Amino acid sequence: MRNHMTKTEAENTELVNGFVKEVLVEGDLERIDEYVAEDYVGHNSSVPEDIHGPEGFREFVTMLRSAFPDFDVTIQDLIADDNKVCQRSRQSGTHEGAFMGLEPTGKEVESSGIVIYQIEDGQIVEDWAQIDMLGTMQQLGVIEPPGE
Amino acid sequence: MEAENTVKTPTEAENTVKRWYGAVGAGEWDAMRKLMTPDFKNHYPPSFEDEPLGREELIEFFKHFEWQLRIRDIFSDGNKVAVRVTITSKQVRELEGMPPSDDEMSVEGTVIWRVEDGQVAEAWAFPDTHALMQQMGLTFPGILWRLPRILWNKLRSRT
Repeated sequence: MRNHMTKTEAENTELVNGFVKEVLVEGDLERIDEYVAEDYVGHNSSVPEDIHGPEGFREFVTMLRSAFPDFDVTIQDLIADDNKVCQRSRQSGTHEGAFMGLEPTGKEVESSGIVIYQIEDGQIVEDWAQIDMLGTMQQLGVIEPPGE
Repeated sequence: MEAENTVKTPTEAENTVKRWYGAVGAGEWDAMRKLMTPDFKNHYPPSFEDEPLGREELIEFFKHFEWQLRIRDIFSDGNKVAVRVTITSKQVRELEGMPPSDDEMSVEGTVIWRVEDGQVAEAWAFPDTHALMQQMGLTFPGILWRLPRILWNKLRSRT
């Protein structure tokens, strides 16, 4: 068992904290070029297609923050190992814009998720995000629980 | 079981998690139990289950299926282990009146494990619920009895 982070792991942890706060929570689109690599690929269970490059990520954040303008993330756990960081977090927001083809409902939703980031030379090159979309869709009233 | 992206020497905590997946994949339920602390807690997303599942509940659920578990990525920091895994399941025993089937369900998932002295003590498991929803939508309602009991109960409890 290791008790101390390497320099890279400490830097990567800081990078993820900064990325979540500045880009996702504060919606600072200018910082995306700094955090997201040119050849970035994002696999995210909340969107149907992979996300490519800083431009693709800018579109994703724009969509997310227009759907949920008060979008917030609370990081609950961060696991850093070499060039990988795993983040467990809760997301919340008020549904005030179109999301996955769903017109705004005005509902406040809360969701949990895990993201794994692969980081090279201080930039995110790939990530895998599992967000509890079933819970989100239930809270938005899209999924009607089936009868017996 | 070999992880695809791991070239460095696995830590003890990673090996414990790999042994757990190995036991589940082989259907060795006693070995699975021995690799879990008595007060083990499994946290699914709240849409699956409000309360964490305990060791015996999880084993009982797992026994109803054959599992193929393919670890895509595994890494750790101290006693916390992160895993990206593809889970394929086939129901082989009747579950709450739902008959077994040859149909397989396959889903990606990401899990964080907390390991204590060679046993898993806690897990936070996030399956790709979007894919599950799509699979539900495609063959609804036939898919429902193939969903994990927890999901089924959750959906049923809302009616």
